[in-house]
Amino acid sequence: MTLEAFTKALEEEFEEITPGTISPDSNYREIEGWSSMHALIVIAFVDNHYDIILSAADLKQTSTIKDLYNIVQQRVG
Amino acid sequence: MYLHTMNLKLILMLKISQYGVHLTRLQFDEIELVRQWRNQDFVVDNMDYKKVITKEEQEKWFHSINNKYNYYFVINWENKKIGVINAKNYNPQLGFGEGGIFIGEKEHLNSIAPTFATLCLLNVVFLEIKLTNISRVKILNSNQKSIDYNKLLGYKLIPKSNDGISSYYELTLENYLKYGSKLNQAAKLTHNNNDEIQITGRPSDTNLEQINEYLKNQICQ
Repeated sequence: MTLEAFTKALEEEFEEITPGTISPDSNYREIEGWSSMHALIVIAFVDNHYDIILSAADLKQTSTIKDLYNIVQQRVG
Repeated sequence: MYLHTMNLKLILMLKISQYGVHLTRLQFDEIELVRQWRNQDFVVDNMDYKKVITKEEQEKWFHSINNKYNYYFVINWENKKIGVINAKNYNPQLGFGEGGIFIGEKEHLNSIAPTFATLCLLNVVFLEIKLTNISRVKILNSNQKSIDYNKLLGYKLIPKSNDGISSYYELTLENYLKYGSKLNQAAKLTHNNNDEIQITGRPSDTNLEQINEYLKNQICQ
């Protein structure tokens, strides 16, 4: 999955977000209405698509969607 | 003697645990703490009832909800009481009339604890004891954060429920299975896939029969 596809697929998981609102450089914690619920959705999304378990520490060290993608790619690789 | 009484109370009281959160049925000696939480500006801002609640009103309220149709739990997280979650106005045909949550300890407002507490209670109501197929929440129209939060759980706006100040949202079992499964999956992953729900306590006349049956079965096992 490319970075762009990852961003789009993740955006679709956040159902209340207007499509096209987030980009790979978006700080996902600054998404309007961001809550711990979104963090759980990110963890489930990565598990379902990559069979990788992100920890709270992983999320803490990332800011953007691109950072998340890079962590996933490192684990896949 | 005091310690003995306290231990006995802990054993008797309905308690739900999952994902590191412990929900303990609200006790009379906790209502002053809850009143102080509830009267804080950042809590009042998100409530329909805005007046300062007096001690007398709080006591009267407690006696009106300490029964089998209403379940108010103190949220315990990392050995600290941080807020209240509830399912109230149970009706055998319609299920619980309304659910709600508020966090009284400000530093936990944006933590994972409210989400875990919500999943924990919904798991009991929908999946573990299966008390109802529908859950409703009433949210101030101005509280966009809460609206978004509940929509991520699968709650949908009930048409024509907007009275100009607040609206009702409804979560069906079907939608909880769809939306909540992802959230529970992730919550379990953060707990090494090993965090089954635990419901303990002694049967009581302040519990619905289904809850007492569940507790009796737990005691027998």
